[in-house]
Amino acid sequence: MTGKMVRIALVLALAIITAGCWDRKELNELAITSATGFDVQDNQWIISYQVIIPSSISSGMGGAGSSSGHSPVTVYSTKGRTIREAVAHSLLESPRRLYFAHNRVMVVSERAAKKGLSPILDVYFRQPDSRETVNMLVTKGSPKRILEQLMPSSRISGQGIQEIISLQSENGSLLPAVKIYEYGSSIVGDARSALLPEILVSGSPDVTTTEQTNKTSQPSKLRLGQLAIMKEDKLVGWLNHRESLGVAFITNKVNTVNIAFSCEESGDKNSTFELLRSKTKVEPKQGDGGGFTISIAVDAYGTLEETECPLDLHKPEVIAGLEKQLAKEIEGSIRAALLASRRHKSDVLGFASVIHRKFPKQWEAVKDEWDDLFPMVEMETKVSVTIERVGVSNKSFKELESPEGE
Amino acid sequence: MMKATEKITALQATALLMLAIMPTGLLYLPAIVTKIAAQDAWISVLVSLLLGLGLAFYIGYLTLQNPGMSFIRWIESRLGRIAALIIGLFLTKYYVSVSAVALQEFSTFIADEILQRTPVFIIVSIVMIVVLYAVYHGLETIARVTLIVFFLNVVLTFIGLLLLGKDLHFAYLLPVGEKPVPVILKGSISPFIWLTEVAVLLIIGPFLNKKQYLMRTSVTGVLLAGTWNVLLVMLAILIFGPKLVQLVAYPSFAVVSLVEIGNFLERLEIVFISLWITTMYVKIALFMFAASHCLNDLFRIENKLPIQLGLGLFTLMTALYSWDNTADFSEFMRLAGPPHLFLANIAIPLLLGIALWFMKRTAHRRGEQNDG
Amino acid sequence: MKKKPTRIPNTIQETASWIQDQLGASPDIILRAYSAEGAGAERVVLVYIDSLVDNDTVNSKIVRPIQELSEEAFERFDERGLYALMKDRILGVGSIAEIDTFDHVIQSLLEGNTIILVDGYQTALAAQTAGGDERGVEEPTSQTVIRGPKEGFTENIKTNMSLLRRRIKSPKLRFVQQKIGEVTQTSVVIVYLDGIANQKIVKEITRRLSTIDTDSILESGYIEEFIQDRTYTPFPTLQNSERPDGIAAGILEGQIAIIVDGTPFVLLAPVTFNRFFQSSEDYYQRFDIASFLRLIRYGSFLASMLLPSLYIAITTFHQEMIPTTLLISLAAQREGTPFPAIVEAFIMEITFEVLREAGVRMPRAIGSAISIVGALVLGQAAVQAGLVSAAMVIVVSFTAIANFVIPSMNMAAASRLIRFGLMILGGTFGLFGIMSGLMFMLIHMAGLRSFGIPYLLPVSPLSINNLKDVFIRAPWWRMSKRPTLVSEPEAETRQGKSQKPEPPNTDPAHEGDRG
Repeated sequence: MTGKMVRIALVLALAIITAGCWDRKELNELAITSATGFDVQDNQWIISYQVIIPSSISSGMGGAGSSSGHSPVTVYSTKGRTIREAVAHSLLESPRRLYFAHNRVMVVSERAAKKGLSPILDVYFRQPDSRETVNMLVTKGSPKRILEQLMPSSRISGQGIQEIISLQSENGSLLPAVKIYEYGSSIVGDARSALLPEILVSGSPDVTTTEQTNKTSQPSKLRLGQLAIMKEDKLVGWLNHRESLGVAFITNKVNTVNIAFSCEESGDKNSTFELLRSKTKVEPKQGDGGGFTISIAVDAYGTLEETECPLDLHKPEVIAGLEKQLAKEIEGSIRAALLASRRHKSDVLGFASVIHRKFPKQWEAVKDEWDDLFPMVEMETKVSVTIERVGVSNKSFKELESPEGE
Repeated sequence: MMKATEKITALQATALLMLAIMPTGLLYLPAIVTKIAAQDAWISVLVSLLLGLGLAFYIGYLTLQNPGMSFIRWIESRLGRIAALIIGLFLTKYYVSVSAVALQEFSTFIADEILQRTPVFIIVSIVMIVVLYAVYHGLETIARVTLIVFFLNVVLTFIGLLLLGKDLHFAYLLPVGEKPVPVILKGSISPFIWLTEVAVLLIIGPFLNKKQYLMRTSVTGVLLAGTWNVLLVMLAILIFGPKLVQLVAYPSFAVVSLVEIGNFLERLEIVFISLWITTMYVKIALFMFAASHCLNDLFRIENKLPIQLGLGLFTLMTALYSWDNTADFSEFMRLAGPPHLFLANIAIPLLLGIALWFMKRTAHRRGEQNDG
Repeated sequence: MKKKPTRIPNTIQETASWIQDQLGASPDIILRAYSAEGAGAERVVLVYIDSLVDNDTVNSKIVRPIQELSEEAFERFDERGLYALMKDRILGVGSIAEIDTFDHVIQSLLEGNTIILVDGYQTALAAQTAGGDERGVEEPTSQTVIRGPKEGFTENIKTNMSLLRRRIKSPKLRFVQQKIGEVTQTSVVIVYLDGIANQKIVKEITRRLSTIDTDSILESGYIEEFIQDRTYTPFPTLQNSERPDGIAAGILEGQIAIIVDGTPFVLLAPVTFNRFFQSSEDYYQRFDIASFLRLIRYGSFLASMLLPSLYIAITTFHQEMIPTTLLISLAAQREGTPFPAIVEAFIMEITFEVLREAGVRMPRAIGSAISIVGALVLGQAAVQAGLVSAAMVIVVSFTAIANFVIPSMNMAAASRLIRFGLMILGGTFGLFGIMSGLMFMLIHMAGLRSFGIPYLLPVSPLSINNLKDVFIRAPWWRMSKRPTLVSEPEAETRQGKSQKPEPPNTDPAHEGDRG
């Protein structure tokens, strides 16, 4: 009995081995993409790929690697009526199959963003090999140019871009790192709006050869720019840094951020505050007339990092003064964010879901005309800042400098 | 190896019940229920759990009536050969088709997620070989394997929950109770249909070594599976939000694919899929065992292997050639699935209960008449 | 087959010539006849096989007393008297048997006994003088430990029995002997503790042993293959050990040992899967490190079985799992290699198996040198020549090392065989193939029994009490129960409860201070 089973199994095993390996893809048959670019021209998708060349990054023996002189990546683009058609066209020119699972960054052109990104989302959620954690960025020019730009500090610039954006979002909070699934869930959310960070090449000419990266200073570099407002999947406008910080405060996405503020009621002397923790409470209220008011309470804690003002930081009232100035600064950026989003009639502040969650019944009534109602929503802000530490010196250098100083 | 008296423990039976329900629910439940009840999906699943517990009590009670004979023989001894024949054949058919459905879901999933180019025929054959090997060894072996698989999955689930901790957005659950009660109830139908598979206890119950734990087994099995479903649906909503869940074909695994620990531990879904594969094997093996057990018992066949091989081949062909594509399959599941499961898992036990009660009463009355 | 036993004839001449006839004219058969001086008629004959006896014993305890026998004794006693004199007074050997058939005589001779025949008397005396050149008790070469007894079993069954007796001084320790092998007549002894070993299993083992019908048993491996529950399985269902302490521990837990004459490897049955991961040292070391090491062993077993197949599956099917940086360096390594990963893995694995086998077979003096050189040269050169990638060499080497961590050689062998099957599955179906293979293996193991005991016992079916000695080793005082099913149900309790050691309430040092 067992013998028979063994024989059957053996025959099947043989069949499998001889016929086998349909899905096998050897590592040296893959074109590992580290970044992709999406652009639209004349109703055709132009997809650019930044493909890693492994042998120029690490040598086969696993030794010192980085045989400089060879470009670590190669960039090419293909055209097609649909995204996947364009990708399929890459087989006409590339000896290797494109492999997207290690793709970290996706750069979308402004043109494509204005047309709508849903085809990209569809592809990403449909294809099992592409990861939903890819970071989305917008660029005003051609995405291919972004992908071609080399970085001296990070040999694979796709990875480098991802590191920049996640470092910024964790330590800067000016621009959020938006992953494709996060974008997807906010675009289908109640507000139907989302934000995407911008990337650009500043300076010229572009750094595209390894010789250029060998220099100590590059004529141009990749840097993050503004924040794009996506409304109903289409790009409608931009937010500057001050406004985007305000959005981060309202949506409670602030991690740590350095805020420069003037330390006196008037005057141009500034200080810097490192915000370490912040919590925002958003509470909607419905007025008698049916209009909504959103009250926003920010609680922020952090350290004073730098000051130009001659202050004695031993004194509680001095600290309290600074805290007040800071609160004003933060309130200003929150206000700016509100004005900007009103200007673009786009609810990037997430008020829609706040109201939906608190007043589900009323929401049913207003949700269809939310776009028109949104600019009328009032906002109350209350910011409290606590300076917990002032660093390791107690007084400002300015104060010691002055003749009457002790 | 074919022993006449196989015995399983209560713990093993509980794990069997849980794994009879969990694996396929894991694939489709979050999407199905959130489509109907959006962020209130978890309430629907909770309601289905309560309904399921009711059924579990009933099935447990019914199985307790069995003095320890195998299910078909028991029916035959109480209700006669004809009834046994009808019920036995129907159940065989039912378990074969449930196995085929599970097999189809399994192979579709594998083909979707990991082996896109491998012919489905090969995948299905491999699954069937392993399943038949388990069925050939009998319920005792299946139960032992189940226990190990069960523990592995519990451990892994906890690890998964820990890893996902920071991606949870509790705001997605709000507002609670937005959907009206009928919608929530409608949403609870399909998770409840899944829970009805507890009826397989009627078949495996007689194998239990300690009968006094039967009720507990039935209820804990459903409780575990139901709680699992609630957790799963909640997790999917907490991470993707009620809308995106519907877009993703297999949210449970997409959830895990978001885990990124440092820059080295990511795309863990394949690990979770691998473990889930083992649960799927257990599920299909259990149902194939139930089918072959019914048929063997019905016709008192001593040599079980030919029946098992035949049923295996039949199931394999059913899974391969019954449905043209996934749309066809989901249409079938929507239209034919619920009534089929309802008939086998609720209607038959109910009819059986009524018939038994009626027999008892007439017997009682006859007894009284005889006395008088 | 068996003929009717023939009695020893009356005359010793007849007997002596019959013995010589049976055994052939081997030079090591010694026949010595004694007769009364002058009378000529031989009254007493000694027969023994020189190569099997302990010459000292024969010479001093048998030959000399007979030679010193006075002339008158020979004359005074008739055959009955002489026989009694021999038996009661002359022979200085403890164990003397009286035998009266030819078969017994021959067998007794072949066991190393000395036969004393008295003319005219139909019963012979067999004095136990077995000895000859044998290896002494040495440190076992397999299953070495750092802490623990250094004695190992030897080829001599008597020595082996004594090693066990000395460890378990209980009247309940039972030795049951059987002779197996038509030609070799090998002694096989079942050892168990009466009242602790499960009587059903003892009966089953005895039954299986007695059904063996073969001409030769040269090693316990023969017995193992005859009595194991299932042949077509890579997993061993009997344990073997050279270590008396390990076997004694097994017996104390209710297992049954089978000692086979002529081999230091003693079998232990029934066994469960987890036993192959226990080393006797686990119980001599502190429990924390023992538990840690045990987990390492399970991990190594998995690694040894799975690592190459996982590597193949992940690098050719599931590249998304690999961290990007690692993927790039792996891809760079693969850049120059001509073979697909699975072929590469097979080349390396087979190379290693060849090296390993060569290492075992080569003369010890050059063995290790050559295997190191072979490994280094082959590994390094193969990578440099671009035949295989460096990562593959690392994977295969680690797999090989991991294999040696498993304390039991036959379980290590199982993982070696399964590895190849999984490599094929992993190379064709990726992780799905591997999981299906593992599932098949798990079903197989769950269906396996060792003398009626489920192979995966304490885990599935679950027995919480016995989990204290599976993945971890609990402190001794916590393991109060013997393994269920293996031992008799009544004898489950091993030791008293609540023996957790605690310092006395009053600290003697402080008391001293106060005093």
